[in-house]
Amino acid sequence: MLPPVDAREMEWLVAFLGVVEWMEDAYPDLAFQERSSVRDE
Amino acid sequence: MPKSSTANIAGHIEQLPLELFEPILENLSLRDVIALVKHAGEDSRLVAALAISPKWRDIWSTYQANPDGFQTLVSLIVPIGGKRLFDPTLGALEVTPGQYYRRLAREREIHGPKYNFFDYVVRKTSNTIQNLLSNVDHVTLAFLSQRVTLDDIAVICPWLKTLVNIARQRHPDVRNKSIQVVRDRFHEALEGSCRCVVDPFGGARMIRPRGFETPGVKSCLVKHPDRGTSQWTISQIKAFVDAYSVVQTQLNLMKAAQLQGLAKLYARHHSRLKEPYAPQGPRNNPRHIPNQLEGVSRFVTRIIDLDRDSQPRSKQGMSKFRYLHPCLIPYDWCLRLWIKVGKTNPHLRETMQSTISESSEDALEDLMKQLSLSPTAPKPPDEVLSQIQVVNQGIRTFYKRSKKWGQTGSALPRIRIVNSDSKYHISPLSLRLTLCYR
Repeated sequence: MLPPVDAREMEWLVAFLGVVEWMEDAYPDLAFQERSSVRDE
Repeated sequence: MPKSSTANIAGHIEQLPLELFEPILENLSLRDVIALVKHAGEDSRLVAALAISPKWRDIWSTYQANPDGFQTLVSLIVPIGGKRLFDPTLGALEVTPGQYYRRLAREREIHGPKYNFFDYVVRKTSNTIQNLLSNVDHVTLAFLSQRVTLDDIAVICPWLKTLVNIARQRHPDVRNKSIQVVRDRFHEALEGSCRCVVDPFGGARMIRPRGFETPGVKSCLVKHPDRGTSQWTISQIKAFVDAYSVVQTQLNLMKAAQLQGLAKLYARHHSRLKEPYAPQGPRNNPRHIPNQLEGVSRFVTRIIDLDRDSQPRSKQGMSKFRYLHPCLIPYDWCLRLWIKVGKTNPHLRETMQSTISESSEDALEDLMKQLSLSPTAPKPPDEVLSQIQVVNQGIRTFYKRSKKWGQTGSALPRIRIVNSDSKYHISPLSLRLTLCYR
């Protein structure tokens, strides 16, 4: 059996995405630059 | 057409003429008959028909010798996830009269005339559960031993009853520690390990304390009938099956809720989330992942971890829980954005955050000068500030699981540097598969 993921991990992910969402609004140019620089690794 | 319940069928049978009972009874299994009798009652026409039936009267007398025991055996089916059923008797009661008499004749040849069908089913069920427990992974066992109630522990392992009572009467300050001792002993009992030793001088059995090794005293490897470990009684089996059903259902619902939560999260953040090992580029079909997660969430509610061999599709559910982190991770560009913004915005810095809360505005200005930070950096709203705090608290390593999951080891780093090109990514290498199985 594989146990469910620790609740703190779920909380961390939700918080991180919330911060990223805010950063995309607050720093649109930087966010666009970073998103555009995506390439397969 | 809705499926008739056993109670409805028992009611319909009661209204039939007595001469029609025999052809119906011929085609029923012992399990069906026991279930029908429960609803029909002892004074019913069904019971009267069974008592005089040429095919059933001998089986009926066997049933009447232990009606409560047979009813308990029938109730042992574990309904998990709605339709999913698990029968720990492995179909021992699914016998028609013909099959029953053939089995009786065969077993009496082997075991003699004292062969008892009820004892055989109890023994078979006990062996089934004990075999499953001996093969189950240690995470399931650890979770089970931590979640089963103390009352059930006292029934499943009667030799722990005194310890349970002592633990309950302890002072609240040390009660949890005493309860943990009980749970540890219960865990060992489920594993089948025996900490009994034979005193080389007196010959009496005694319990060897944990970590206490006496020279010349060997561990006893035999399961003792008087300790209840050789064969479980019907009440032990019933208590275990009921407790297991509750624990497994709780576990499955917990996992399903996480997958559904991730599906919703992906629907909102599909440009920021990906699966581990998926390319860093955008996904063309953003509906695929939430659809898959919702499908797997329906499946995981039906998992029976105790009997994993009979669940070939369980790997699908397992793959979603193989990491220490959720099965969706942020794209690398999200992390790079976090790092770059953190260099210019003081509100994202862990060190500054703790300082800001305690220091004056002058101290804040000094700190910003030292770090060459921009005083005009946008300030996040309060909600985001609290999210930043959560992120900073867990950014270094993945959260380690508590002991109840039976997992140990050091915390794994959440972020690792791939190369000197300052490229970071969320580590996908935290596979737990090797930790979970013994």
